[in-house]
Amino acid sequence: MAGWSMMVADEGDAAAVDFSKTPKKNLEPNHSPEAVVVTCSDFENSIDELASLFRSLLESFLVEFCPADSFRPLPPMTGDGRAVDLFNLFLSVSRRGDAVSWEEVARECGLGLSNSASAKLIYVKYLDALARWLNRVGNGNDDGDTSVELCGVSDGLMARLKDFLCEVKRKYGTTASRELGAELKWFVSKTKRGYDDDDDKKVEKVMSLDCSFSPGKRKRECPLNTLKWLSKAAKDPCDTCSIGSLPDRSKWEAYGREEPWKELLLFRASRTNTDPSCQKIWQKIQKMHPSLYEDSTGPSYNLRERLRFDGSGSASDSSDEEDRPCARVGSQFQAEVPEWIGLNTESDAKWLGPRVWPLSKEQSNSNLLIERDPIGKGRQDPCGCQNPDSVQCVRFHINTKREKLKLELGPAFYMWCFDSMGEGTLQYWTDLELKKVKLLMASPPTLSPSFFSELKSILSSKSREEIVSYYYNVSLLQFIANQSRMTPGEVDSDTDQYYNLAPGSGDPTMEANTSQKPVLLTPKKKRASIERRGSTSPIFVHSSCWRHILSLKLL
Amino acid sequence: MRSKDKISYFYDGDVGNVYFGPNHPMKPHRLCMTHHLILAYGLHSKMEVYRPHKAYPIEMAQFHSPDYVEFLQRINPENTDLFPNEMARYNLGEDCPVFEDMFEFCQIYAGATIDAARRLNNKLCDIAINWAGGLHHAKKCDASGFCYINDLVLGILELLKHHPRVLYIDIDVHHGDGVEEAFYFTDRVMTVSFHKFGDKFFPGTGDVKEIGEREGKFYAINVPLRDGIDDSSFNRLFRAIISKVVEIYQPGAIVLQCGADSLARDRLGCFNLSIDGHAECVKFVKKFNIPLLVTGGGGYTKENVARCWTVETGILLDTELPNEIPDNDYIKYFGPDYSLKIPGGHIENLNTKSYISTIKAQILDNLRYIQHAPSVQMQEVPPDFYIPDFDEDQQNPDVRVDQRSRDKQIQRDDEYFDGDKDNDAS
Repeated sequence: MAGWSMMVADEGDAAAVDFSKTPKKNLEPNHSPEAVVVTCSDFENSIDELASLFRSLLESFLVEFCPADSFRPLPPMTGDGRAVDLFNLFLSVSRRGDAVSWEEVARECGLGLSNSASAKLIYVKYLDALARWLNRVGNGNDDGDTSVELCGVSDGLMARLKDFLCEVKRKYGTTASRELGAELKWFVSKTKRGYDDDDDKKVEKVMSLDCSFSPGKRKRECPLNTLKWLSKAAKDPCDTCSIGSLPDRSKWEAYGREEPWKELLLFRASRTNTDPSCQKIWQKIQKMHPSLYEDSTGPSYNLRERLRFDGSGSASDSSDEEDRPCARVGSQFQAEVPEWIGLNTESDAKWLGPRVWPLSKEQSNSNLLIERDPIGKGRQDPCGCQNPDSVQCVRFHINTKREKLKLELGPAFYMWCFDSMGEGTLQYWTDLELKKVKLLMASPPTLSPSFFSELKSILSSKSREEIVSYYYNVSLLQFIANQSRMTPGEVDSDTDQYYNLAPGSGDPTMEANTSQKPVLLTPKKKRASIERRGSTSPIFVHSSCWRHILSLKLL
Repeated sequence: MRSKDKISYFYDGDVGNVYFGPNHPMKPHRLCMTHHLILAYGLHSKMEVYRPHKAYPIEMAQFHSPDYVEFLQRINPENTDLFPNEMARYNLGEDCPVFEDMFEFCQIYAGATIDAARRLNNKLCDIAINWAGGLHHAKKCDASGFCYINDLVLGILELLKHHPRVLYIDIDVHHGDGVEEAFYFTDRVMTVSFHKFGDKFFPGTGDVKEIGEREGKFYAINVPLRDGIDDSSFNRLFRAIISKVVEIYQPGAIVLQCGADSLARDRLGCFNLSIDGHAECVKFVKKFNIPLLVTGGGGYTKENVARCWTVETGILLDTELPNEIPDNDYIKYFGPDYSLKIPGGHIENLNTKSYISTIKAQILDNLRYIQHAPSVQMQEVPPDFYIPDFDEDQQNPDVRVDQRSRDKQIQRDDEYFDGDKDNDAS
């Protein structure tokens, strides 16, 4: 502040600051040893104007924003009766930025070293709020939207703000920089972009001003009405009429700072990024309650659906961190691993299960004459049948292999339930039972809960395993066989996604995996013949697909 | 390469008709299809097939809490309404439904893994296979991710009776969280999991930063991957990491969980591995000639699961299988090609080279920390060379001390005296 004081030192006396008049002399003489006298009456006048505008701005600001019952007399006085020039104080502190030495400030303002505490107190009482507000107005410019800051402001204050800022701008535009003291330089150097002199655009100019008035608080601040919203939300989060409702989390990006909750999120982000202790607390909270940040009602994962995020694999790690379950530690989670003390325990071999294959000597007596295929032999195409790949051909080969396997495996064949695999399971079903189950089986075949309960009522002789076995070995197999022939491009055995449809409806609008509508396996189809035992499988005739039947020899 | 490995294979015919419920992706019928396909290729001739004993609740309680095991035993679909609190506490009902014969199913697959571990311990076989097992999400006190009893933990605990260190490798597309959590604090089990991580993919854990804690620090390795990884990237990464791990950790036994949902076109997975790529991992691990326990795991496209595990059985038996599937009762499931090959998926590989190299570097970096400080000694410590100690007090003070002796007289920093100016000396 040396420059300021010197400029008016010639004039100066210890006159008290009086806001009611526009004083030319309002500064105490400066006792700084490095005082340089600069005489420039024009400059001095313009500084005076700036100072007076500042004072009027401060006055209306205090009237508007400070509570009515707070006692803030102007001009403020120190303990030993010295009046304080608030403009000087303001500049002095602003210039220092983060590291404010209040002794120096007091000295520069002519208050004396002993009044450093008073200087600080007066600054906090009178100017701090204004500085922060001006800072917000300036910073709000970055986002292009300061309506939050200025929306509730009275016209008088707005006018004074405009005047003050225009004056600052004029200084910037007109005064040569070398004549300015260092103090004013920083002040005006913050203003970005030239102003038009157009009065109509003055509000926009206010927006475009980028001054950092606030000393040491260069972070984003939270405006008052946002804090009011926050307190309301804290009192009653469900009160949508007073606080509004938040949109879905995925849409948050689309909103700007006009929303109070968005303002709070940005504020939090700016604070956590810079303040390490704050960051720690936030991370701790996040870890403890990941559900707070979730909109979903169910668990945060869904194993059933393949994720719809194909292609967006580069999701930010921060979102993963929030939702990740925290580490589970303790006797409830870890296994008890004993210390390694060397090999002295014996594993209990007697509790092991029996060997099924290779057969024991007694079991294999009947298998002396077996012709085995070489191990790992694949299907030999083409086979020697007259009509290769026809129904009969396929059935023949399957049966041949099955018989071979039965001979080879002996008792193991039954132990592994090979007898009820494929169409072999049909040997355990009577005609009547088959009729009943086919009646209820949906198309495509599914095992819906309703299916089970209905079948239970009409077919009590069959257990659930047998019904499941029938489904997997007959219905589904048949369905896929048809799919392979009709639509070889799309074969999918996952038919149980359609279980919520009523059985037998054969709904043509249902979305099937195949391109063809599932009208093949209707429950009411006719069957040509069926044999109880042996290997012939029923031939299904599809009334709706005659041309297929005629053109292809398929099932 | 030593002579043919002896393989034990475990299968129980009752698993084929286990049904989790409508619209549930886990279908134990795939085990039946796998077994059938293996037999169709005649692979049973080269191995011993055992029927596993059904695990007793007391065996399950070696890891799980007894309350949980008892509840699993008692609950059935009819009385779930009577125990809503317990159902919630043990996480049963949604992903882990209560279905008929659920406990018996758990007994079968857990018993098989325990049997497999016991056979390996008794050196009755070199490789043991249990495709029904590998349910790696189950936790000590609750079910998770279609898994009720964690057979892998039970098997590993059994192996730990005979081996100081056991290595667990998990190539399921989901993070092997149950096994990792169980052994998070111990260095006797090293868990390595390759899985998809991010986008809230189940279970949500498995970041590369999770490396274990306390004594188990650096003994948990997580390889988080993005969608669409292909054979070459995956195999390169697998070989690099596993070879280093085996070299440094020197396990006595290896447990390999071969979840087939890391294959392309899996109903729940999102990788793009082919069957050959998946089986390459099995081939690589087999080469170490360390007692190996192979289990199944995830895999929600039945036919591909059957193909994959059949091919891998062939690899473990040193048999290359032809692509043409032989005739069998289930051949219709493998249409329209009736071949062992599966078509690739059309998803973009989001794992860039730089990402993979970053992950690999981090993991290999972490591995350096366990090179020198295992709790159980890995090799004989060579004896120090004998350095004769000389007693200073017995030396003749009148004789000049030669340089070499003087070098050996190392003064400690906290000695008070400075040369001869010892104030304490009277």
